[in-house]
Amino acid sequence: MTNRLRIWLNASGIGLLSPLAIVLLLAFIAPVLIMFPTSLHPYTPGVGIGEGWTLENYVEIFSDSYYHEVILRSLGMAFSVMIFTIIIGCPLAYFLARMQSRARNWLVLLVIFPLLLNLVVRSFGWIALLSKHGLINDVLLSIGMIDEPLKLIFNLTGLIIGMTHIFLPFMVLLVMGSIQNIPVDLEEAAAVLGSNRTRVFFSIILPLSIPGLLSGSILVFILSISALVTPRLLGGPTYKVISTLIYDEFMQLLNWPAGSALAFVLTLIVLVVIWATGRFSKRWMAHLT
Amino acid sequence: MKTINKLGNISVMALAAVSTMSVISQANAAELVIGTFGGSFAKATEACHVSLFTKATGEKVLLTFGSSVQHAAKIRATKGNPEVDLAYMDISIAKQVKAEGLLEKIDFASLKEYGDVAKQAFDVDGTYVNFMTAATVIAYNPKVITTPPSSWSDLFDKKYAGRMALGDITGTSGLHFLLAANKMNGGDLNNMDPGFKALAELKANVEVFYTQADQIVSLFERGEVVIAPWYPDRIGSAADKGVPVAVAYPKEGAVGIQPTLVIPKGSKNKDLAMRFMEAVLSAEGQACFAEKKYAGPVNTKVTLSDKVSKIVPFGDNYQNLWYPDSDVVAKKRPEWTKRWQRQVNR
Amino acid sequence: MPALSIKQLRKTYGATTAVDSFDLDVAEGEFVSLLGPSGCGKTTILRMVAGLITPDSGQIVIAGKDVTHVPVHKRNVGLVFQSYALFPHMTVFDNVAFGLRRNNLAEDKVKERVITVLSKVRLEGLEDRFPKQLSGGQQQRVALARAIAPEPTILLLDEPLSNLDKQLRMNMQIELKRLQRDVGVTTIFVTHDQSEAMAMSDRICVLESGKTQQIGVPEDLYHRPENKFIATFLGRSNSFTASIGKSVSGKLVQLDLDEGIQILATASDKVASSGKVHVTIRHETVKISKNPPDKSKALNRFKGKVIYRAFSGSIIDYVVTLDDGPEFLLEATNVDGERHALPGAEVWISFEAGAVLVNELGDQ
Repeated sequence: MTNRLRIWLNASGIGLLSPLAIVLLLAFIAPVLIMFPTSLHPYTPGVGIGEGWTLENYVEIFSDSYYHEVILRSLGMAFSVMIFTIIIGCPLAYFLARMQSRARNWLVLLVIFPLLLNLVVRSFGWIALLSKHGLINDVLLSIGMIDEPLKLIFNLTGLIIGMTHIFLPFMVLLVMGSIQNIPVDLEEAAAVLGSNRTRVFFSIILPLSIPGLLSGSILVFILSISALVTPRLLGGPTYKVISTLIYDEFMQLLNWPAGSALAFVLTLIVLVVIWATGRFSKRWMAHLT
Repeated sequence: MKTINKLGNISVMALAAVSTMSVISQANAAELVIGTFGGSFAKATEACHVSLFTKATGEKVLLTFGSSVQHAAKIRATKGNPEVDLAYMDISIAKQVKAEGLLEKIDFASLKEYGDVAKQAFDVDGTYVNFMTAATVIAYNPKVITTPPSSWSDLFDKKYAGRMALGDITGTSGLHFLLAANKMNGGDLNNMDPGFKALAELKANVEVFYTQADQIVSLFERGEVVIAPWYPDRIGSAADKGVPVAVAYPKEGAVGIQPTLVIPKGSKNKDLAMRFMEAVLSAEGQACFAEKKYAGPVNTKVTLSDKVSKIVPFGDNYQNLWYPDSDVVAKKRPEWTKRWQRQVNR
Repeated sequence: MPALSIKQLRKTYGATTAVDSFDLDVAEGEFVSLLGPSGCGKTTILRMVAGLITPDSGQIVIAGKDVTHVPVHKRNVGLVFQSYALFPHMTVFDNVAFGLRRNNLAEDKVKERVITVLSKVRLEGLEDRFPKQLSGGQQQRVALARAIAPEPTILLLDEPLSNLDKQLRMNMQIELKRLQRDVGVTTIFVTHDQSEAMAMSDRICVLESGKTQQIGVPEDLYHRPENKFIATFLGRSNSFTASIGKSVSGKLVQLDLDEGIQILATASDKVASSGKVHVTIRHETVKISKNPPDKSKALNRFKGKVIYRAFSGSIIDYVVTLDDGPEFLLEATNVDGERHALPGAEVWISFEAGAVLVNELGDQ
């Protein structure tokens, strides 16, 4: 038995993964599992976490329309951020990937730059740009495109703008990697066969950068749906998402059971998204590799 | 490609796990571990309380930072074997942790400073001591609003529509403003309808519901917000840095905030922790904290400078403070939070 | 009217001139090769014709229409890449149909045409395969089918056979040539392989450093090279520097090789004047024999010793050092399968006066 196990372990190469697996298990999976029982206890304000077992925390999430609204908003927000990073990120990634000049490294650095900034600096930047008397409103007002300042911050719009901004680098880098793997010959072949630039992009570049696009989309979606600080700063409490709700349950109300239950619902959503995307990409990749 | 995809999936899952679950940080064992609040509060703790304690005892202190709830969460997670020997936390959270049986009983009468401190500062059951007074007051931009506001009702003035901010209920100022509005409109802690009704109507005027106390500094700075319920210590610190903001105490009475010190059950340095309490409660410590952090003293022997006494709850303003019953607040807060989320913030 | 007419084409990259004053006229249905070492500018010319590179100056006229400033996707040329550049996410059918669909052809017409073209390249039944599922040769043919499907005015081939192994390359040469005849499409073929160029082309244009060295039918280039570069670039040869000596008769002239021997060459304009010249003698024109050859049969004959012999089936390569002169490399046909003239053997070498190619010395 042990022999067969050893043979299997050697053959599968899983042994190579074991240090990583142990770290992952201890640092990420164990805490999650430990928290699961917590989500099944009742909580009484002023008294604490009860000893009994209950499904009430989950029942409440599934029966209360407030939670539905928050979950839908979170999904919608993460989805919009994903779409916007795709719309902005793909052309940008294409431009950077096909750039010949040495300036490329600097431009890539510029794209990554928001990631390197301290959150406080970043949020001051957002306020300077997006607030009622911020740069964008000032410009739009002065060129007469609007009469009243637009509300671009402390609402869903602001949240989506901010999240798109910080998560754009992930999309750009992943899609850029994919595009760099596409031989320039393919684009030229399509052009010679009568495709203009737009058609080349949609018939060749886009389908062939699906692997990067999918990884980027999953990453952006999950980063967005689980982001906490940015929603708290830019969305304000009016535009609650699942992560801020979890934070409130844990950190403001000390209601760990309800917070854990919400956290598990979020984790479940994330896993479903990963699973579904994985299936889709497997199908797509079948004939490419 | 396949492996990359798999790795991607794993890292994505890891990311998800990290961002959804909180990871409890470890503090190294030192002489005395104190959990205090971050930012300027931590600096004041260091300058006033720690230095005094170290001078008196010669012992070293390790500071860890967090909010009241974060300290409470830590105490709950390390039940009976706490990492911190003494924690700063708001009275409502202290009462919650006390109800869960997580606090040491302290013989307050044995404290050196016991006689000098107002008696109501001590918990009758001997678990926490209120070491300073703060409050939720009105912050306003004195350049724009030349007549200082004098009532909570000024916040309801239509001319501030789109130029005012409120705290979210998850922060103290949001809760206090709700309670003040409720009381002003004839409600009490058992009948919150008037308060919620008033706020639901006010909602349209609110530019932002802030969740982080310092979030509105830049809004005051840029003149986007000119009036908001806020805290005197934050207002004082911001004004010192040149932000156009000043303190106004409403005539209905500012809502009192009572930060406390607690010793978690099982602390291995209970005696030292009590020496630290003495340092915090001493006239010297209290005066220092009042000057540096605009904290209202509880030690009756303290005298304040003119500037500070205008900002902190002192004199008439101190007498006027309203303390909502924190037992009731602790019990009802989750319910109010839910109602707020649905009626004010939706 | 030529199918393709290129006039004074020029392209520079910084200080390097890739293509300089290039002229070429290609007749309808003609197969012309651009031949040269790598970096000679042949691919640059091809890409300028396709519209993938903009020339600095000059003119490109396809079927009477000046296309110098027409964008690539409106030129209606077919291009086969060295890498084939098949679209990996599309089936063979969709690859071949790609250009047709861009012409807004009705889908049933597209289908008809794709089937026709695929049968021309003998790939019937592979419509639903993806490129990854095909062999190198099959991919090559899909690339060809895709290029000819929209009936381009000109077919451009960029070293299309260089990624195939030797055996397959020979077969594809024949197939490609046959297909080209069959379709009748004007073709420009870029290659660095001279035997490939000579085997397939109606005319060859040899390029060096962005300049045309000679254009002509393969036989002219091989037997009547216009300059030293062509003489040495094509085929395998012995190179010498010589001074023009006395005229032997009206038809013959004596050349004094720097290596110290005298040879006789056919007189021409190139050897009319005295001075230094470059002499090329191809390997296969030099004969080797055990006994001295008849003087009437070989005007140039020398005694020497074999120092190297390499047998490679149909031919045998020799290196012979002359008793009082230079080394000669030569190539003999294997006629009897015997082990003649092993290293160390005393032999005679000989060649005709007409086998001596004389060109200007040029810059050394």
